[in-house]
Amino acid sequence: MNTRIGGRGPATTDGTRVRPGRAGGGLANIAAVARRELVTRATTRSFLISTIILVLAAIVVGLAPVVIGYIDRNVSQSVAVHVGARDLAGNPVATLDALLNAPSTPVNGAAAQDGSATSRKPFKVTSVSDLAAARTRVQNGKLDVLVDIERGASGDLSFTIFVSDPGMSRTPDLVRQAATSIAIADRLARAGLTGSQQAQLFAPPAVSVEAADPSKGSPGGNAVASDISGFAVTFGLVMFLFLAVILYGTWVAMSVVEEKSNRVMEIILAAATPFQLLAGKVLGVGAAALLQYAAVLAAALLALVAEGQVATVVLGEASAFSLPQGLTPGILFIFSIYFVLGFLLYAVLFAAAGSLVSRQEDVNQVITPMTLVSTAGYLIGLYASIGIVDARAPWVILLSWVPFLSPYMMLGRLSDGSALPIEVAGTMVLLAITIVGAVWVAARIYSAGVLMYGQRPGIRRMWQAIREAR
Amino acid sequence: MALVIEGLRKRFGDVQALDGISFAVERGQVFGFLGPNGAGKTTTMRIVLDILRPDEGSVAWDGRAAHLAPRRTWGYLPEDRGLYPRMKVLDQLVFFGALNGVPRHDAAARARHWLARFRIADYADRRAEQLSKGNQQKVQFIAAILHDPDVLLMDEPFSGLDPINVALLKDAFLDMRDRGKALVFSTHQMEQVEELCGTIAIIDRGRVLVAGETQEVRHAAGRRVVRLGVAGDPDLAWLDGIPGVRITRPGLDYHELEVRDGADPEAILQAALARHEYVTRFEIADPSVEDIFIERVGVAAEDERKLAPVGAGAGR
Repeated sequence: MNTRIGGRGPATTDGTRVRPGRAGGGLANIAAVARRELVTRATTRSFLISTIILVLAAIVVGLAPVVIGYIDRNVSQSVAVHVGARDLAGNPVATLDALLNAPSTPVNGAAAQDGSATSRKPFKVTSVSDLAAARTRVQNGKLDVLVDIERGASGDLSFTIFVSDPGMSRTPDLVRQAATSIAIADRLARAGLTGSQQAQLFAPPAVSVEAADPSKGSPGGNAVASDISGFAVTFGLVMFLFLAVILYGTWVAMSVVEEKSNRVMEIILAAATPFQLLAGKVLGVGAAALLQYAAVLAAALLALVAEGQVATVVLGEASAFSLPQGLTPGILFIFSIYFVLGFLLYAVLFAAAGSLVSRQEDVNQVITPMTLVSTAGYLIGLYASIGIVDARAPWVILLSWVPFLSPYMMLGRLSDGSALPIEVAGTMVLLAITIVGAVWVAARIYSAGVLMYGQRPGIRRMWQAIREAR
Repeated sequence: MALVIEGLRKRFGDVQALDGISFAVERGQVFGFLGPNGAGKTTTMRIVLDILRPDEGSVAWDGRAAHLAPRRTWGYLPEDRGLYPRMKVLDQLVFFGALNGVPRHDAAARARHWLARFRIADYADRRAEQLSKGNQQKVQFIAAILHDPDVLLMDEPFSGLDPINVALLKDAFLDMRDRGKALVFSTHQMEQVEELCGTIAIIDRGRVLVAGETQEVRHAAGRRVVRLGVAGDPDLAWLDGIPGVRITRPGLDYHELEVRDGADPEAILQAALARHEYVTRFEIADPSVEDIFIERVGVAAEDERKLAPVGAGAGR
């Protein structure tokens, strides 16, 4: 069977291809331009290097807990305990270990030991029997701290903390707090309180933090925590979008100017319409951008998934894997739509702006309006997501309907929980309509701009271009 | 008539770039499109290619509006030539071919064929920026003809090429003419016009000054040019004695003389022979295209004629 699959365009029965002038073959031309853009972008050294750097950065960020754990582990302090006092209630080594490593709030040593303690320990607490030898080791730097526990004449415990340089370390203060707890426990034991009575005495009270406005966030002890990580996710996503718009938008503009300054433009224009060129360019650069983003995302996800195993290997202890809270599939889905639409809108405008200048040095000048608007949207979206700006203020809601701002601001409002589904859908539709309009305007600016050399771009010139374009 | 251009007018701001340009080119014809810099040659070509739209006038190919003709009808070598500097030669050609509707594998095969014909087959996988200017120009020419267009428009195709490359290009050129393509090219090198172009048009400030078959245009000038070379007498000072004769273009081997109406060119030869001089050249001819160009366009173009071989400058 000799069946041709995927032939190029429709061929008529008489063999001649119906291609009415340059308007025809549009898709093929767009594909050719996009393909060239993608291939040349993706094979440049700078693209490869920047991708590698970003991927490495993503892996480092993904593995951050492990990395921090590893660093902490190396700087852990060794503490030796010498117990000179007899008849001490409980095990002072275990108590010190628990008190130094776990709690930020002083609780009874035994109570702090359970579950919540992290697997990484900033202090290694050991017991020694030879006080003199241990002191020598402190002098030699082999041991950071030596704690000697003796019972004084009054019956109270007395603590001596040996360090190599008493002025430099924070550890004696921490040990002093722990010593106080041990001393109190010792006094209570001597007063006749049992261990379980002590535990009761030191049990932490129930404390919960809630927003004053009951409509904000879900009630319950975890609300604040999950909101905070929700903010972090929105913060990341909004920044992600902003970077993509600025970075890859500039690519689009640069690429247009490159063709102009190379004078390749005229050859291409003879073969393709400005619209085809514009569309191909935006799609091609967009594909390259997505490729890079996908690589970075994949690396980050991989790092997150592998975090447990890596932790086991590096730290010798298991660590639980979890996606950042608030990064739900729903949010990711909405984000990806805003991301694509927002990128398209800005990329089209960047392309039109690029067509107005002839030299790469002038690109920054013409893309400034887009950069400013984008930055404004980014900042307001960011502030709305972290609560600096009230996401429910009327002006924020109004601005979030402006298509140039809505990708950023709707993400901010989503994290706040104030965006209604109808608003999400509405802004998306508005954004799509605006893209169509922007393409129309941009293609006209482009068709006039690309043959314009050495003229200063201005509002009047642009208006003229739009009016004169075919 | 295959390619018919009629009454093109185009204004850019205050400048009337085209002011009623009309001409026609047949299949199998090489049309020389002449004019000083800024005369409107490039604008005309851009309008033919539908890159620009005219304010008035029309372009037709085979009796239909030109912009309705299939895209691959047209081939264009612009004066502002360009390639993607960091793209490989073959990749660029395939890309330009794809824009003109040539399938990728087909485009690659054709590109290799042409690269071999232009003796730059080894450069297929080099980046364009690694090629010399002349070789880049050949690649650009291939880009313009890879899809085998019916009409080929070229702005200054020979500028900056060495004689060997000029010969290669001319060869390809005439080959296309013989296969029935309509060729339009602009140049400032008038010898090439006389050698290649069956028909010409000289335009200035957006208007056609002269147009027609090259021989007729030369003949219609209504005067004769005498070329006289005499061994051992570089000055030919005695010519001052003959009324109605003037040296218009002194040269090393021979001088070109203008013979005004009433004066007899034969008298010059007789005078030379009477002086017992050894005449190495005597020729009575129609004025060259260059003469006509200068005559019609005026002294203003004189400076540009001297710069002509470099051929740079916008042709708007």
